[in-house]
Amino acid sequence: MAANITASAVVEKIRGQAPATWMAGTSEGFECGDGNVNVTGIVTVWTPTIQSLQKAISLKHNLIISMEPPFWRENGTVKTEVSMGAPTTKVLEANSVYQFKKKLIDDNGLVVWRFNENYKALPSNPRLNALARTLGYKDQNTQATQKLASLSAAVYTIPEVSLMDLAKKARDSANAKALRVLGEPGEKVKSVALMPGYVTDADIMAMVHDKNVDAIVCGEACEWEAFEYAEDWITAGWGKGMIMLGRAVSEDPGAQELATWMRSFISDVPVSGIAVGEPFSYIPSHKA
Amino acid sequence: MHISRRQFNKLAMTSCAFAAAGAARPAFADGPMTAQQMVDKISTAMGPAWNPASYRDTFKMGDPNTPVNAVASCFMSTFDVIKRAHAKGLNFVITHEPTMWTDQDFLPPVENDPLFKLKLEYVNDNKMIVWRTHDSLHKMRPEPMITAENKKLGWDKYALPDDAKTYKFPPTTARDIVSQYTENVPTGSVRVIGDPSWAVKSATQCGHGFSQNVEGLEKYDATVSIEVREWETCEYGRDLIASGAKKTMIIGSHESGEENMMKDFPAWFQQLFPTTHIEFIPTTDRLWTL
Repeated sequence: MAANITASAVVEKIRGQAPATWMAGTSEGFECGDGNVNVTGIVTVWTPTIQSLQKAISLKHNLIISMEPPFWRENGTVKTEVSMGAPTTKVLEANSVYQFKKKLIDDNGLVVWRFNENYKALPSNPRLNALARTLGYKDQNTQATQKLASLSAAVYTIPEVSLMDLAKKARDSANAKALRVLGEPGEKVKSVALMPGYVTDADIMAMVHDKNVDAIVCGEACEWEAFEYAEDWITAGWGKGMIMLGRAVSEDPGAQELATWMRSFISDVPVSGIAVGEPFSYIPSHKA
Repeated sequence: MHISRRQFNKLAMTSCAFAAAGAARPAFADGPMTAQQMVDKISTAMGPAWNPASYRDTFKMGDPNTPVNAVASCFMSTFDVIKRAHAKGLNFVITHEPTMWTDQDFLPPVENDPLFKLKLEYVNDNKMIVWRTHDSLHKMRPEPMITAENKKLGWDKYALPDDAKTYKFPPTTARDIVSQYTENVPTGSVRVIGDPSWAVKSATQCGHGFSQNVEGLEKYDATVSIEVREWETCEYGRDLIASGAKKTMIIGSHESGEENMMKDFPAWFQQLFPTTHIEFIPTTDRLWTL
């Protein structure tokens, strides 16, 4: 590759595309490697799994742009994720998986740059729009969505469908084999609040306040917070269902869209979007 | 409208001041006990497990001085559980988990939420009371959650004598352990990371914590978790396997993995209040998969 562009220069180019929304003091930065490294190719990915790093190595791409940090914990003072208690640095550094992954990154000279808050704030909103496109939701209800500018979420009007068929379509189009559903399968759904990623009960309150939403489609919800809120919302007769796609599959389309977007202003090196897919190996079929 | 924390608590528990005054007032000799009087007796009986400073183990809705007709014990005081308790004439709901959808319960912006107002109105209109018992229950010995789970799973016989949440199995496969779990756990939601053919000789219950899961997976062949964060614990599990380890993670649902303890609670309660009617109301997570 004859190109000569450093990792820092790539970050500057990204920043230059979104000057109006760019925020300082975020969780973002170089997690591994160094901004002075010459970039041979770029991989965009939701979370830099070992398999996605191996893929990057096979593509000879050395810059990884990911929304999540590589070692499953946020080391900086700015936290964007909910953690249920990470191990200490000492415990983590003694861990065999940490060592395996660290060696893979170091031996192959990979650079990992975390892109999170400013990615979520991009005016083109790849995180939301790419997931909506994957799921086939087209008609954004702008009136319902307007108030939610701070969330990468929107309400979509869809042709009436049963909750069961909505779930099947989501499973097939997002390859979300482990998705989980709350609500009566036969209920009819005409409007969907789409919320990629992890949602809090406050996020859901903001989305369903006007009672114009039949179903929530999200990535992940805590089973004593947003999940319970949805449960009560359904009991109240205000909502009909919630589909939890799984965190990874709700983020994959956005991460791939990021590569497409970057190719519009980076031609020096190849940019590849990688979908990690769901981490779950199988769902033992079971009915109580 | 801005509501201060103090006003908010007053709104949620319609008569906090009355509750404080009521504590000093003697009960009518032959009248039913109030919820507050019952909690006083429960906390005394819990002994060293009781932590009066716990923000979790407090009244959540209703007037603590309300006379108790009958009691519902449940895993989670969902709106559905509260309604089913009311239909059965059980006006005191003893729940293990939150009522207002966060661990802290009274966390903004809940005070302005229409669903919160609806639920609160239902509790107040029907003269119900909701009290949470979480930290103290987990501190009792033997620990009631693991005791109940082992009984339910039939894993008592495999539990280590000094660590009841860790099991040594006769050598078997992950497939077999997973089916033992799913056959005994009433939920549509069990997700597995790992290969069904892998050998499993040991397992441990890891709850919600990422660090507990890391530690459990280092020491044992399989872990059983309920309600973990996917970006940390599930992604660690995926990487663990990609690094070459043949480990199995069974991820159940929060309710189905923990609620049996509240099924056992009435027997304990009945020793303290032999004449008060108490019933377990299943929370039933109603999750389904395709």
